[in-house]
Order: sequence, then C-alpha cells, then structure tokens
Amino acid sequence: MLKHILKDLRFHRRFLLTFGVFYPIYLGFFGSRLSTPTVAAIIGAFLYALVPIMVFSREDKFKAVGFSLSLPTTRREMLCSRYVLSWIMMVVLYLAGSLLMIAMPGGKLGPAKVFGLQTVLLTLAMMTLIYAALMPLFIRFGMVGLMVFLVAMQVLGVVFMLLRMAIGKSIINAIRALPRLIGSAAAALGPAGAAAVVIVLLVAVNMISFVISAHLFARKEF
Amino acid sequence: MHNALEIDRLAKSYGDFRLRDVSFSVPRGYIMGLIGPNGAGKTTIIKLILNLIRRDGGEVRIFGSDNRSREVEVKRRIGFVHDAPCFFEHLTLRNVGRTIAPFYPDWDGPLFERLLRDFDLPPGKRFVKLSRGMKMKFALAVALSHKADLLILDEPTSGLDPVFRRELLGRLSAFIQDEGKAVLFSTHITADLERIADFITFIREGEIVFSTSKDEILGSWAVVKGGLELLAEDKRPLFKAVRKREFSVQALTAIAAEARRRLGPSAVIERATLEDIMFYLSRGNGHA
Repeated sequence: MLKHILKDLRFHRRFLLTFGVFYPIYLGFFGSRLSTPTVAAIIGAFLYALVPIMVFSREDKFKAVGFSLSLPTTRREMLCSRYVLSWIMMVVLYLAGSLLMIAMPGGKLGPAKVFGLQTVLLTLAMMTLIYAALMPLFIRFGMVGLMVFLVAMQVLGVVFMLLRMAIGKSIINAIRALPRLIGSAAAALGPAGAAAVVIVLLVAVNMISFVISAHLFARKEF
Repeated sequence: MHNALEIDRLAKSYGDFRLRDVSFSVPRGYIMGLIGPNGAGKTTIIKLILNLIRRDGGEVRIFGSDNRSREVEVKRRIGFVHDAPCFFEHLTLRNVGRTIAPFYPDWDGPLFERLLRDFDLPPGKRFVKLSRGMKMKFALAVALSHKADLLILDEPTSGLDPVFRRELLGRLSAFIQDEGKAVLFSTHITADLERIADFITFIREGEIVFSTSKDEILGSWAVVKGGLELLAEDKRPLFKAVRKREFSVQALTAIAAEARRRLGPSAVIERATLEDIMFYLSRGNGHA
C-alpha cells in the first residue's frame, strides 16, 4: 500500500502543495471571523473532502489509471491506498486549517472551541459522509459523479423546501429534534462513550463506502 | 511449463464487437506477431491479458498462472509497451523510474539509467515533453528494467524512426535469446514481423483466422495472378480470397504447392507477404 501512496504523492505533488497551502489559509481566515466553530467545521469538511476526489480525478485526466493498473498490483490494493491517502490528506488539511483558525490575528475562536470534542466529531462526521458518498460516485462516473453529487445536494435542498411547503413545519421540527435526540443519547453515554460510538459509526460508513467502491472499481474497464 | 502465454477460448463483447473463442499460445523463447485490421480485437486481447477489461469467458495463463487469481505475480513478469504510453506526465523520466521501482522486486536501477542513455532519453526531461517515438523508447526501457519474462507490445513501432525501429527489433531478438522469455508483438507494420517473428496470429472481426509459424505461412500462402479463367468453379476452392479486375484476377491461396500443381503455367504464383495475406483476408472477395 505504501508504494501506491508514495506514487500518488509523487504524481500529485504540485497539486497537493497548492491545495495544501490555499485551503487551510482560506478556511483559517474564514473560520477566524466566526464566533461559532460549527459553520467553519461544516464548510471546511465539505472542502477537505473534495480535495482527494480532485486529486484522483487528475489520473483520469492524464489517463494514468490504465498504466497504474498494468503495474503488479490489484485494484483492491490500489483503492485501499486511495482511501488511506484520502484520510491522511483530509486530516492534515483539517489540522492545518484549524491551527490557522486559532493563529489568525483577530480570530474569535480559541483552541478550546476549535478542538472541542463536539466540533472535531462534527467535522469528522461531515467529512466521512461527504467523502463516503463521493468516492463510489467518482469511481463509477469519474468527475461526472462529482457533478451528480453536487446537483443531487441542490435537488435535495429543493425537495426539502417543497416538503416544508407541503407538510408544514413538522418535517423541519423533526429534523431539528434530531440534534436533541443525539444530545440526550450522548449525555446518557457520557463524552467518551458518545465519541466512541460516533467513531465506530464513522469507521463503519467508511467501510461500507469502500466495499461499494471496490465492487464498482472491480467492474470498471480501462 | 513450455508456454509463456496461453489463451484459451477467450471471449469478450461490448457494443456490437465480439471477441469469439480466441485461442493461441506463445512458447518460451519465441516472438509471436499479432496482426489484423483496425478493430479486429488485437488491443482487446492485450487488455484482457493485462486484466484492464473483464473477460466474458475463457482463460488467460501466463507461465502457467491465471492472470486474474495470480494477478500480482503475473504482472511482475510482464513488460507492457502501449501504443500510446501513459505514464505520470509531469514527472521526469528519472522520477517515473523511482515511482515504478517499488512495484517490481527485480527492478534494476543501473540498467534503467543505462537504457535511458542508450535510447538518448534525458533523465531530467518530463514525460509530457517527449515525442511519441521517445515515449515508446521510454516504455521499452521501463519494461526491460524490471526484467520482464514476457514482453507485450501494442503497435510499438508506429511513429518510430527507421533507425530505432531496427534497434528495437534487434533488442527483441536479443531479449528472447534467454529461452525462458517471450514476446507478443501486435502491429500493423507486417514487415517488422517478417524480420523477427517466429509465429503469427491473424485476427479478423474478433476471430482467429490462423495462428501458426511464420515459416509455414510464408511457405504455403501465395498470391496467384492470372486470367478470368481462375474464376472457374473447379478452381475456386484453391483460393481464400479473390480480387477481380477487368481482364485479370488476383487471388490468395493457402495451398501454394497444390495451386502450382493444378494451375501450371496458366497462372503466376508469387510468395505472399504478411501484408498481402492481411490485405486479401481483410478485404475479402471483390474488385481490385
């Protein structure tokens, strides 16, 4: 797996350096202007989850996947290393962005808020959900998959608006009740127990995403 | 295991193309030429060998191992030269070598550097900046540097200058001097195969027309030239394909000795080149 990771790091070096500098600075500055870390966590997670997909889309662009697959490796190994590298990239970007958020002059968020357990778990959960949904779509449809995802998010927003108009506020209230439910479950489990449950769930979501991607990748022809 | 590559009843369909029951083998120590018109299925066969596309049926065995269940082991022994080599475009040649090396336990770094020098490839140059011929040379340098036992070349000589074409053919001949190694060489330039191939497999519309030794083909196939009397019913079974002109006929036969005996001095019988065979078999019967 390491040889795949090194191959990808070498191949995408410039691209990674560009995004590795730009994204954390952008989110560090943007987040430092906010008084609550939640919005920064959600937007940051979305942008960080896009980076690995954009990185791997370059192989499509340069038609290098066919060559990578002619090397002595299996598709499963190649995909597994992509998932691992993606998480390395996302975590490094997240840490860099968060540190800059704290260090930015005039920042309103201190380390306690930026690295609070709830914020960290929220960011990891958002990154997992977005990345886990995007990766199989990208494997199956390439960059078109990414577009499909973004359009689907827009459509989902419209569907919720229409539902709200049709059903009234009950659906919104139901959604708003969700954090309260999670909050009471977390309170019952205690901070450590809740964090452990969330992490287990996130690992499971990643595993499901990997299994779907592996199935799609095995069927793909180059 | 005598054969480097064995393909048995290989099948694949996509769209309106079908590869049907393709079977042939490449013995160790020999060069097999794979010829056929565009769209015949040559590249599909190569992609199936490399597991880049999924087969619908049949088997591919490389040095006795299945190319899917023993994928990593099998690919370590294959050197692949694609008709449009795609490496990591923005890396320098030296860095492409460094990136690929960990995948091959037998990678020979000094040999790679030497081959770059021999092929006049600047190690510091980016792959994207190379000409088509240079890309092909680089792909060959990579294939030779990991000590492949089976070289698979897909149209390697197209776009190459005659000097390097000769050099490439010389290197392939030298490669199989080690009798454990073999080459599968797909090309349109049949003159190259006449120079170096030991066996020829001809494929047309997804089916194997013949797969046999080059000497047998060149010894038994011939072009027959004569008058319209060659079209007589009793003579037609002699021919695989007939091209009719206003006052004359040219035909391809796979039984040159029999044709010579039956037609006598009424026809001129010339040795067929691989290009003749490909032309007649691809174009079929018709007007020249």
